[in-house]
Amino acid sequence: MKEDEFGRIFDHGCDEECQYASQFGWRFKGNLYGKPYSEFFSSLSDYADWRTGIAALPESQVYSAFLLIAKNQGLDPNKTVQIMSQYYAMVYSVWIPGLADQSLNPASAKADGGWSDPLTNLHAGAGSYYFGFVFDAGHLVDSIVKSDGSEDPINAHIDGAGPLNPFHYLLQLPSMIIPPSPSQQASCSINGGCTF
Amino acid sequence: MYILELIDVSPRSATSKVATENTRPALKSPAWLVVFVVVLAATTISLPCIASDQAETTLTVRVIDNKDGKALKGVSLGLVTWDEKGQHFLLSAITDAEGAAIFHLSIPIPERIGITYSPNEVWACSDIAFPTIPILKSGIVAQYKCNDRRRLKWTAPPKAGELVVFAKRVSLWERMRRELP
Repeated sequence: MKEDEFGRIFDHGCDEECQYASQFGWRFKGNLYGKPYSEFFSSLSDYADWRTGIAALPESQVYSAFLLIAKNQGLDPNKTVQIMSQYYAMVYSVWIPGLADQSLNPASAKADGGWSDPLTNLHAGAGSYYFGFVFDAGHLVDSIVKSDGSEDPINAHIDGAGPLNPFHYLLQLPSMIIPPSPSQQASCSINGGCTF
Repeated sequence: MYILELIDVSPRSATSKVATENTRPALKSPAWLVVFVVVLAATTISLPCIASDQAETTLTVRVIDNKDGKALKGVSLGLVTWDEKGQHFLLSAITDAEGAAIFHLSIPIPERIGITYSPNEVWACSDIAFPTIPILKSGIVAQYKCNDRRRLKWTAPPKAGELVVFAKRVSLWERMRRELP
């Protein structure tokens, strides 16, 4: 009998079924969406199920969007900040109310691999940066004070279907007729992930 | 909640005694009276402190449509407070049919509060930070910042504990345009 680091007990006196089991497994140890994981999987399928399950969690999606703002604003990686998020049009929008400076940093956005939205007039003049093209493209939208004086904060979301993906226009835009869900708060840090 | 316990401190007994013939004379002694008065005074004085630690103050934020002065219903609203280290904290609520979102502020009352809206729902047409005490004492009607002021009909005076702010809904077309690169 032997116990591994995950607490699993191996009995090397193999039973009848054991002879057909693979002697290999998959081990994951590291951070996903800011949170540490240490898991063992007996098959790649098990790993894929687990991995996609984590990616689909609301806190993971909120974290990805939070990360766009946090990196752009140069937030302390270890500092936990309270954010607001809202599910609307198939994505989680995130904004950080307590930020002293709500303006997007273009140099930082470019350095992180973002490309500038060419048609800012469609955003009422607010510049925005995409981080990706077809799948899971981050979209960071600058704060804006419109000509009539109304304003919105810097915000971000992850488009599952990016701007060069037809489903962005066939699915995501039409889904905007469904009203937004109530916004909710969460605590996020770059190194610690997000918690509702 | 607290427990006031009577204990026997004499060296002969380590157990508590219910008032008996033996304990009654001790209670009449000046030392016991002094202890009793001190304990009573301490608990009486500490009661309001304990109560105030657990107390909270209600603050209402009323969101008014910039076009017609009517209440904006169903708007997600966040209320931001800051501590002395600059760390911010959030409370969230949704406006009711009167456009009011009610927040419970814990004691000590923060010096200032901030208002945050979802960028998917409304454009802010007022300032987004306010001093707390004037709101609680007499109420504040926020200054209207959007240019179409002539269309606004809002003459109601402020109420104590209420902050009136102005906003306008983000249209579906505006939301769709944001997603076009």
